[in-house]
Amino acid sequence: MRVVVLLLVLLMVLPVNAHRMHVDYKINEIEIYAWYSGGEKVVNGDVKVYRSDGSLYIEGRTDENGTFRFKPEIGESYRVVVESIGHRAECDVNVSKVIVREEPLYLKVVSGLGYLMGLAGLSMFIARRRR
Amino acid sequence: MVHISDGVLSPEIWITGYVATAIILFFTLRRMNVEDVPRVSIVTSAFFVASLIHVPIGPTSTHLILNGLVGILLGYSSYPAIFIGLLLQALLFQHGGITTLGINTLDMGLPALISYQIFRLKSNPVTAGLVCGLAVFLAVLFTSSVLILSCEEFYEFAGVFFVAHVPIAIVEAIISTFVVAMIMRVKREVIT
Repeated sequence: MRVVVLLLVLLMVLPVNAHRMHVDYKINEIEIYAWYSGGEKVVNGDVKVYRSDGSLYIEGRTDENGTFRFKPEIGESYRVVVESIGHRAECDVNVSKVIVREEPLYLKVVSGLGYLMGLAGLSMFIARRRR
Repeated sequence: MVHISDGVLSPEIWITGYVATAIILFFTLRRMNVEDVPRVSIVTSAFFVASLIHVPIGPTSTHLILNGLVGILLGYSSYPAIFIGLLLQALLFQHGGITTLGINTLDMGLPALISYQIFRLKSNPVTAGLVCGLAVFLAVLFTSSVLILSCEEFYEFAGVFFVAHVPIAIVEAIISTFVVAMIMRVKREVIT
C-alpha cells in the first residue's frame, strides 16, 4: 500500500484597482489530501510541512476526510510529509512561482520616451538621406 | 476608457479601422516635413504620458486624452502622432490593444483633426479650450459608437461613459487654454 498525497490549491481571484484592468490571484490556502491506494482516506495522519531550508513550518493531523489545510507564505516552497502507522508519503508544494511581477511604471515611461526619440532620429535620418 | 482593448471588437470592425487609419496616415504623413519631426515627437511624448493621469470616478477611472491639444499643436501631423502614441501605450501600458490600434487611432485622431480645423477658424486660447473639451466628447462618442456596433449591451452603459468624461473634458479645456495662451505669447509661429 502506498500513500499518495494530492494537493488542492485553492485559488482566490483578487482584482487590482488601476486603470489598466488586471486579474491577479493569490493562493490563500493549500489543502493537501492523503489517501491509500485503493481509495481509503488517511484519517488522523501525521502531517509535517517543511520550508525549503528544511525547517519545520507547521505540523498537524489530517481530518476525517484525509485533508489538512495550511496557509502558505507567498514566495516559499514547501515539502509536505504525511505519516500514518508506518506509511509515509511526501510531496513538494511550490508557491514561489506565484509572484507576478510587472516592470515599474517609470521604466515603461522612460522606455516609451526613448522609443519616441529613436523614432524621431530615424525619421529625420531617412528624410535627410532622401534629399 | 476610450482605449478599446484586444478581443472586444469583431475582426470586421478592427480591420476596417486599420484600413481607414492607413488611408488617413498616408495623406497626413505626406503633409509632414522633416522640420516638424522634433515638435511632433515632443507633443507625442506628452500624449503618450498623459494617459497615465487618472481621474477616479465612482467604480472606474478615466484618464486624460489630450487629443484636442495634439490636434491644435500639430495640425495634420496629429494623426501619425496619435498613432505612434497609442502604439506605445498599447505595447507598454496595455492601454488599448494591437488589433484595435487602427480603430483607436480613428476614435482619437479624427477629433484631433476636427479640433485643428475649428481652431484655424479662430485661433485664440478660449477657442482652444472649448475645442479640446469638444475633442474629448467626440472621442467618447466615436468610441461608444464602435462599441455599440459590436455589442449592443454597451448601449445602456454609454451614458455613464459620457458622464465619466465630463471632468476630463473640463481639465483638458483648462490645460489647453493655458498651453495655447502661453505658446501664443512666447512663440506664436508654432501654432497655425
